[in-house]
Amino acid sequence: MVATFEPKKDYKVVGTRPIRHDGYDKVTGKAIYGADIKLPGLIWGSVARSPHAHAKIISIDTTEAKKMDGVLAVITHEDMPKAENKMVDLGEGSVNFKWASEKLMANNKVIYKGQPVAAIAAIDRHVAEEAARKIFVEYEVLDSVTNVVDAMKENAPIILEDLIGDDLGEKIHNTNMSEHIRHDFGDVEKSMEDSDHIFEGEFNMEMVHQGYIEPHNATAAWNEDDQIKIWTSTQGAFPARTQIAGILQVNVSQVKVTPLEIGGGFGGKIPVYFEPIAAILSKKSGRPVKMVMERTAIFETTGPTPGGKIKIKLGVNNDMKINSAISEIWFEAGANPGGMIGPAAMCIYAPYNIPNMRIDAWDILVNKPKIAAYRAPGSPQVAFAMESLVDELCQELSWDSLEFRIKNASKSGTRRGDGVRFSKIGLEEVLSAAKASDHWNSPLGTPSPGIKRGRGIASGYWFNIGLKSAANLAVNSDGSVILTEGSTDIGGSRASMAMHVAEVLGIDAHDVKPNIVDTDSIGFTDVTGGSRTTYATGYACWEAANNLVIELKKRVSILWDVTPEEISFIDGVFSYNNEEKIISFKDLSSKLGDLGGPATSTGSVDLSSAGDGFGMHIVDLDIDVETGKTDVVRYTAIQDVGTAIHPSYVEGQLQGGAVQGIGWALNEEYYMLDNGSMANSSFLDYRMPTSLDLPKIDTILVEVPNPLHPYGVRGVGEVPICPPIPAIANAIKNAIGVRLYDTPMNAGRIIKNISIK
Amino acid sequence: MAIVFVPYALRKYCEDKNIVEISGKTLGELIDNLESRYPGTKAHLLEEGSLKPGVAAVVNHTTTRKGLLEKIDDDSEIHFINAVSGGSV
Repeated sequence: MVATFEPKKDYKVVGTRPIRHDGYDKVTGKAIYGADIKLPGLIWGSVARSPHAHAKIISIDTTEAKKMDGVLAVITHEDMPKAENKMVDLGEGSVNFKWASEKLMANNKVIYKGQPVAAIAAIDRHVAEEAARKIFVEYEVLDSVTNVVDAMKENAPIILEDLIGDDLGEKIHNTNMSEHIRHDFGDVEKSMEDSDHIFEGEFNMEMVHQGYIEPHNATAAWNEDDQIKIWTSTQGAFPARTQIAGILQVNVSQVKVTPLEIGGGFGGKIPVYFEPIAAILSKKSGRPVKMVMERTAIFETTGPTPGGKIKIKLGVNNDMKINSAISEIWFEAGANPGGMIGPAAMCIYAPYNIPNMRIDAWDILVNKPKIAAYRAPGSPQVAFAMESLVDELCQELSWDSLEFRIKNASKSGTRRGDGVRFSKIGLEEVLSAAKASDHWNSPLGTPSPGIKRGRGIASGYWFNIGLKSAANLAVNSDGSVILTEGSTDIGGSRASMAMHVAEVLGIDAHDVKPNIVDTDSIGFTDVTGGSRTTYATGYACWEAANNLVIELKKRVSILWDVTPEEISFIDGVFSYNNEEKIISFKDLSSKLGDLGGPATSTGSVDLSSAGDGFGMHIVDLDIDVETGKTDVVRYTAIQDVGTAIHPSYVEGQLQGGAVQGIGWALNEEYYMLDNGSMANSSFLDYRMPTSLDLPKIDTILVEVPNPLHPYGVRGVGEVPICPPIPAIANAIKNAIGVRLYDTPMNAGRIIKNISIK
Repeated sequence: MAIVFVPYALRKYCEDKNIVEISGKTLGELIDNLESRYPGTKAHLLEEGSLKPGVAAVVNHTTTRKGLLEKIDDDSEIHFINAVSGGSV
């Protein structure tokens, strides 16, 4: 039975905005990131990478590299442990370790440009990089495919010869299609036929990258006792440990992962890249090995989010209700299976109550890097298609698009695309907040001559995961509390974890000292991702704090010679018999030495969901009709956030998601050449928005408490990247009268479509 | 009896039905009973005694974290969907 909680309003700590515990170290440059690591005897690793997107490896000659002064180890696929070719359940996802290993070090053939073919450890970075250039590989270059249409053609080059595809349960061979799934309910065909109006659209999107600033890095020390120490920038030390152990074919207890500060991840720092290679180089050289990735390699070889094609057909009736929906989704998986079609299917219709629906989705291999999670993986793409088509039909039928969304809004009990019913959700509250917002009720204003201004809106959804987290507490004699946990702090989670504890203990958030520790020092904790950290690790902190209160009541019972059950604890004060006796948490902490010694507690959870999240964004933008340049001039993000533990960090999540979505909408893309190379693999050419490009992103936090969390927390970090792309597409249509069906909606595409019109 | 939404890939084993009613006190028992009534289904859901990698079971609103030990009520609604979570590489 899942525990449920009644919402509260009289919090003392929850809902306040304390300064983050790691703030001083980060703004003064003292925080330790992966590239800062220094160890005695440390040497550097580098990799030799394939210049081809698809090629057979005929031979690898490492002779010249090995001869170089300062080179201490050289490895190829021959040095990688051989893993079984089968899917293995990790408990928090699944992995094929053979493919995972070959992704990091090619065996027999390369399947994406930049794939490592050899690695070197040397006395310094320069020698390692020079030695990498002296690895000589003979290739037989093969045709490559870089989009889903080409990959599905009859004579397309096959990327993985040992892939067995799953086509609605049927096994297929000699294919680039790893999976085809279908969800349906109701009478889709008849309901479509019976609809008063039918609208269809086809949408195409290019692959994009998360664009985190900090590069991937790893330092490894393989000790003589076969204990392997890893220091890295990761979104999840434990999932990293699982992957490293699986690829190295050792027990998880042999691997200790120490997570360092992280300079952004957004899902892209869940997979490991350098960690196993650095470990093998360390074993071979007998020295700790450090590796830091270059930006070009980050773009070319680490997991972006898929591009692809989405077709949608909607049947609507004259009562403004959606009657039927059919969609087809083709997503790039990269060069290994395992894309984002599952979540895309869950999300595509989520904001709408549709009685008849069908979704087909295909996961398709292409000669590009294996995709990874990126903030609500799969959802922004399908939101672009669905929300654009909704806007189009509303314009065609002269319906108010916000009223249409309100009329069709999902509620508790509505089924999403995969048939699962929503529990308590706050979409209607979000839409009401949007309708009442200053932005929605403000006139567009008059742009300068030569400029067209438009407004667009769009909804977005993400389901938010729960999973495993653990937390430990220990009381100091000065009344402070040491909090130990395993969730990488990306968006201020140290503060929100401390606030969970402080609220229970009735103390200040700064009297809780959060520490993020290695995998030998805390219970299994899943990734900082899936919008789960504040929900699940926060829940574990809350549980640990409540367990600490139980423990401390035992200590007070010794002090007062009463039973623990006779003691109350309210707002940080223990009391007995209507306050005949009282003692504060702080005063008690100084007496613990005589009351049984150190007081500690633990909390651990394994949760199913962080509560479904919905948002709506409103954007005003200007388009220069001569150049096609788009300027976002006003932007408001509205979202049901459950309960905002630390509102500043919740607002930050909404703003960050919106900005990434705006970049995705307007500029970002993997610009691929015919030979499978990415032409824009630098931040100069891969255009991401900066603060100079954007206005302040306004936020409206709608708080519909999640009954599955003690304080009502709902996952918030992913929903805000879902609405921006369609909101901008809808605003462009509103501004210039042209609808764009492809991303990025950059100046060139806008100018081209204006001229066609 | 619990209501099971039959994944599309399994409907060929279930007389093309998209919903079937199956009894079972736990998810494991329910899948055994599903197999008894519709042979061929279990192999698509289980591997080595557990839910297959990549398969998630949703009981009512929430994805189960107890696997085959998840308790099932007579009015439960069960879905088998693609597993989605944070650790996939």
